[in-house]
Amino acid sequence: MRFSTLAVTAFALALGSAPALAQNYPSRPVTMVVPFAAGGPTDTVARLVAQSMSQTLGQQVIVENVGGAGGTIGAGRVAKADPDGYTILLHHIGQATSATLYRKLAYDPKTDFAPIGLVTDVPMTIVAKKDFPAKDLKELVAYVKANPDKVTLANAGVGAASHLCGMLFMQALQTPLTTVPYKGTGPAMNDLVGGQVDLMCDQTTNTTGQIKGGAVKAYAVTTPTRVASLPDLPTTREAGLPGVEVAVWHGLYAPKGTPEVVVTRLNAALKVALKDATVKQRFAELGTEPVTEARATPKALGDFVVAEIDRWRPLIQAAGVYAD
Amino acid sequence: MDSVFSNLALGFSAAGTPTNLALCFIGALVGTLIGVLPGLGPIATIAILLPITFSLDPLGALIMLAGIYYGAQYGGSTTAILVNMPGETSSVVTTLDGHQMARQGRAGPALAIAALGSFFAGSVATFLVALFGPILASFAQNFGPPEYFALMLTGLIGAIVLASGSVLKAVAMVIVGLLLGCVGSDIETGEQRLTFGIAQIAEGINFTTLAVGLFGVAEILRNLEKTQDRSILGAKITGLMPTWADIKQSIMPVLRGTGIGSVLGILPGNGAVLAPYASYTLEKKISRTPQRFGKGAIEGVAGPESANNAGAQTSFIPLLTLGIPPNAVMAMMVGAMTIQGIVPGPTVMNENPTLFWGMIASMWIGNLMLVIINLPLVGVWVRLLKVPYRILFPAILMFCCIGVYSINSSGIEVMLVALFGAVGYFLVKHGFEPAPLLLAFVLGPLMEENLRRSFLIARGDPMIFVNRPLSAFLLLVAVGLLILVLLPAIRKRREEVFHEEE
Amino acid sequence: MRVRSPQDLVGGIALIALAALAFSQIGDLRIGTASRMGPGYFPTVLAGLTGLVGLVLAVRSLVLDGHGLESLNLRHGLPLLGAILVFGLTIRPLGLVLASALLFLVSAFASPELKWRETLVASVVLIGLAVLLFVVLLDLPFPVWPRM
Repeated sequence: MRFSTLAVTAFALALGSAPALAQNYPSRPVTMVVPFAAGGPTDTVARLVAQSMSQTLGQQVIVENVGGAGGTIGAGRVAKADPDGYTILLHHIGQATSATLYRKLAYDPKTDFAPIGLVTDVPMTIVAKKDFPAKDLKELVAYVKANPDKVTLANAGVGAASHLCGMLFMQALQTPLTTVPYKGTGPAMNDLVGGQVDLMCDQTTNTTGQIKGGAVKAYAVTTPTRVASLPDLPTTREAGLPGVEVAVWHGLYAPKGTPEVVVTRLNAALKVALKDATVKQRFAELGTEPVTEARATPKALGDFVVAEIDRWRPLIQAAGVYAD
Repeated sequence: MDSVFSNLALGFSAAGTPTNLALCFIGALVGTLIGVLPGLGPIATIAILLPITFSLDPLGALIMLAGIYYGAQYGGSTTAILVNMPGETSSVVTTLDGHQMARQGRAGPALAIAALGSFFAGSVATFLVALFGPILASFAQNFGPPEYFALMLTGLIGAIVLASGSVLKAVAMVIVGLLLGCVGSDIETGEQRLTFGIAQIAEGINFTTLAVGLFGVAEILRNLEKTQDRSILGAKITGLMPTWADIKQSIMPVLRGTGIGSVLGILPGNGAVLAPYASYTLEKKISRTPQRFGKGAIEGVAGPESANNAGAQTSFIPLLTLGIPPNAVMAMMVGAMTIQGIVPGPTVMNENPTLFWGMIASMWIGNLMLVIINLPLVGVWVRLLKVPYRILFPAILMFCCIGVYSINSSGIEVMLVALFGAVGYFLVKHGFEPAPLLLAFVLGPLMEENLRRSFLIARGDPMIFVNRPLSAFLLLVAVGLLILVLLPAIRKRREEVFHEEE
Repeated sequence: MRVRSPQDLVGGIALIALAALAFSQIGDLRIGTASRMGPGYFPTVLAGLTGLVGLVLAVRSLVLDGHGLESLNLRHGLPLLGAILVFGLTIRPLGLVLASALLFLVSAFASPELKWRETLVASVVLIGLAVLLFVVLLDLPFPVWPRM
């Protein structure tokens, strides 16, 4: 008798406590996993957002860098973490491309996460070395098509934004180029500035300073609209290459099975962060801006991940490049 | 010229406020204290300490960061000297003679000369950055993949000079280091190479993991069997400060090291990594008593430490003038600056002169703080050596584990330390020296990348290496060095054989 | 034939073994040519060189005099390496405090002169210091205690 009372009480407690705990969320610090090293661009985005979310949630949001294997180790850890909202993930476009780049992924980017919302889109720019002959994007396309065996295209390594954009560019032109891979954007940009390679397509975060300083020639930005920091730069669509539209987007995720109240609470905090003046200003200095409120939602991110996986899969498969 | 000095004055007045000086002091102090923990090299230390600068205003944050940066660098050298554990590539060289000095009771002079040499080199390099930064940067732009390949090749040949024993075994270590450097994903195709399916090494083996295992753990093992319950000291501590004779011996190595470091640091392709090695090689080659190297020669600490700091300083040139971070530490500095709303690049100097020159001024102030903090601390560090080893070694072990864990929050990487520790112990026991291995491990990937990149750019034409004058020149230097390295070695071997047969 | 340098012989054999291990991992990585290197080019060349140097070293050990073998110190080595492994295995499930405590416990067996009380005091102080430094002062995302 006593045993069953105990069992019933325990059962009732268990039933009642889960939502109750979720209602009190967060009652301890939240860990935001960044699947890359400290100090990188994704880490910067994460820390800015985390700082603002800490204030809203009334609990510290601590950034934990779990680097390795193109972000899949950190993402994998969050996928397997307790779905209580105390472990969340900030990841970029790699969340979608790793589904194809890694054939032996230990988790499913589509189903193992509870999306919280999109954070930001970082536009990309098509840039060339200073003395590259083409004046504008039309001339560039013509030149590349005429001299496919002369032009070299730099990227920052397999799976990097510049690699993805480069693939898209070559596909749009139907012209394969000699791709020169680097380990990271820094060395790639260095050789572009030094004129060792001809072309690159990279995030505004990395190129804006070089473009403004006249160290490289810019041809177009890869977003539907022009970017505020480079108002004179046409979009790829304006310049006549509509196929090359790409941005490095960042999203916030919780593990699958996280209670809806918790996701809602995190989403609300994210939305506040994206309106925060400091966050906006720092994002602008990075050459990006927060996504619109309509896209900072769980549904928008969930749909977007699926769309992006489908978009990049054929491209990556056609290139035959895998990261494992 | 005038404008440079007025700019510097602007920088110093911005950076020299009491608050900013205090921030720099705190940064250097905390950087030293964390950096001195075994297993926490500059990269880990800076990563750990970055967040404390976030809440400051941009200039304050940058100034504190400068303090942290120099503190972490020097803290790493301190660990290298005291417990033979290099926290980063550059302090591998410092272990060779620095730790030997410590064992002979001369840790104090080693630490002091490292601080003083670094300060001198840092001061010279800071003014180089201020005066000639942009000009030097545009010269460095002439370095393309073929030149870097030649440069790294030269460095590798120099690695053999680091060894004080058998040349054949040093060559073996270089090759094994190169092989370990291959571990990870291929730069062109992304395929996994030699990773045994371990995801944690899919992007390559972490330097700290390898260095802590190979040097640190192996060193503890060696000490445990030798020293019994006593401390690591083989002799009584003889004075904390360098003697006049020490200083006289160190002056020229410091000057030469400063020159070498300043030049190599300017190269945006991580040239600074070679600086301490180049300095060590040079000092050993021109010394009238090369046999003292590896056994506690103070030149072997003074030269490389100065070269390291000069290089660390001038690597800001590619960062500030081109916006290109030449190495991992600099990449982290970019991250810190970006969080403060400063995107390093050619425009910073004109758009925000106070910040730019304030940062330059803070470099020098940071170096000064380093000396102010560390000279009095020398006594404290040296006293640590007196702690009974049975207490010291588990403490070292714990901080190593925490340090390695903190990089990627990965328990598997901690376990890899044990593996490399076993390997390191095996190497020591069989007359192999780990320093050339570690250097080759760092240079190997840079060499392979640049070699393959050169061929890609030249579309398979090997003439690219000789058609470019700079590359051809560097390759000639490599060949010359090879001859310089091998000739005496062969001669020495003959002598040894002869000697043994007697 | 006499082994004149056992140390070099063992070293040479180890290098040959390492080369074999590397070759087994290279598998089907494309090698390519010198001017168009595939992912397998560098590893193959280096594994080959490793084996070659190992062979030279081993053969030379039969000709040239050298050092004898030093005994491997397992009495200290095993607990030391074990302590690191235990920390790596337990840091995530058990947290910093317990993983460090285990590290001290296991490494105590490597101690040249074990004094339990002293070890206990030292470990409590050091663990406290680590928690204070990394968790309290620096706010690092370390798990301190086991997750409930």
